[in-house]
Amino acid sequence: MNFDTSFDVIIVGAGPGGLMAAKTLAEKKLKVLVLDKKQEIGVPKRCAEAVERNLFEKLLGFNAFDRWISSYIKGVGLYAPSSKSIKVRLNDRDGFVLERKMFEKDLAKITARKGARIQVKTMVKEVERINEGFKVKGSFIGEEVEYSCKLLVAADGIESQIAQQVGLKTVSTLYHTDSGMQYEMAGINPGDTDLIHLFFGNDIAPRGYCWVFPKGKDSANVGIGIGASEKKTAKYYLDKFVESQENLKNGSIIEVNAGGIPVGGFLEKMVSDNFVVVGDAAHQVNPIHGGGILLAMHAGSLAGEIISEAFSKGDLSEGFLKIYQEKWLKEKGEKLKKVLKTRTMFEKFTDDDFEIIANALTAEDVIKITSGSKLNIAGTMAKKLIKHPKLMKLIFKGV
Amino acid sequence: MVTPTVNREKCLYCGACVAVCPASALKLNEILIMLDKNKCTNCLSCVKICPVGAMIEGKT
Repeated sequence: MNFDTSFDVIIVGAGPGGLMAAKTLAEKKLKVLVLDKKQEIGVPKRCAEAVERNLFEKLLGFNAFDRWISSYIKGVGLYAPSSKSIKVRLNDRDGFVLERKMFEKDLAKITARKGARIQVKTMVKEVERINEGFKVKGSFIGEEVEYSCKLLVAADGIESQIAQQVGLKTVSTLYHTDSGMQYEMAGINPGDTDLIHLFFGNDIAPRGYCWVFPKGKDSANVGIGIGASEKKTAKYYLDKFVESQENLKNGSIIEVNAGGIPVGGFLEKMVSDNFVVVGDAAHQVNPIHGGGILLAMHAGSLAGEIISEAFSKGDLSEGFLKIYQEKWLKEKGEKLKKVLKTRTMFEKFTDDDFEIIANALTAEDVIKITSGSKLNIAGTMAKKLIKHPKLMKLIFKGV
Repeated sequence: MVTPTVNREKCLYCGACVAVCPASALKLNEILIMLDKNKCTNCLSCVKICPVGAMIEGKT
């Protein structure tokens, strides 16, 4: 393929993070190339596809297309090992289970329309620092290609090699990586289709949980995320879970997904001279639910904003690009650090603890605790503690 | 010595093993996991993280 091979910015990885960065930069009239090793954008997905509507549409700057939406979600069903459940429907928030390959392909089309160039089936093999920027070498359907750019963005997912080649520390320790597995199933009953369903228990999903995210009335993403240090595989536990659920066990598997989830906190350093990391590659993932679509989209647009400022100032140094990391920490990172603490507490829960919670809390309590003010949380918990002294044990466990 | 090997029939090319390899001995092409035996330190992190058990302990 013949085209001009020098760019302002090259982005490696055409996921939600890379595409949002490309879209933002193209809107600012920078010359952008996005490379992805996959043959098709959005395939295979490595996630359960749920997003909160407000944030998703705010990041996009427009409303979600109908064809991206598999299910409208109003809340969450939480299941203790005994199957006792709490169902929570929120009034002020809602979300979607996406058809992610539709969404990502449309996002790629929109990004291309803004003027960015996107090229799939391009394996980046080597990045080399040159005088002012990077040389990027790889292959497009086996044909050797070489491009150059003033600034390079690594949005190449959890297995990111680019940031490592540039000299950043990216390896995720085993303890800080969850092992994820998912079947997209059809011919099943996913339960309430307006809820995402989460199943807890140490025999069900050690240091994690199983999920059923409905995609319409008879299909769903059925998955699991567990700590990587477990002896058995994620697949073992997922198969056991599906087998144990009457409404799932006779269903069909129409897609298989797997992946590592970097849940142990983000990269200490996300920028260097002429270089920025976004999304899973920067470990920008919520350590409780493992979700990363919205965080990657946010990081991508933020990186796009700061990079275009850097270009207009003529300063692509680490010193300037650091604004991206600082802003990201302020807007997302600080909150995620707190979430990480909650996760550490949650990991210590036994099956009995899950039952105590399921018995003590009502749906309203959960709403108050998760979305309420600090005063609300304290008040709700105080009332509950009087009635259910065992809850106190859990709180101490957390401290 | 126990070293990891890939069962290609099971592998889903998700890259989890690549992410946790402390020696950068694993690379993921779109449909190929490559293991550089010279770099591998036999820590078996890749075996432990693999969601489907496609990374297995082999002997050399």
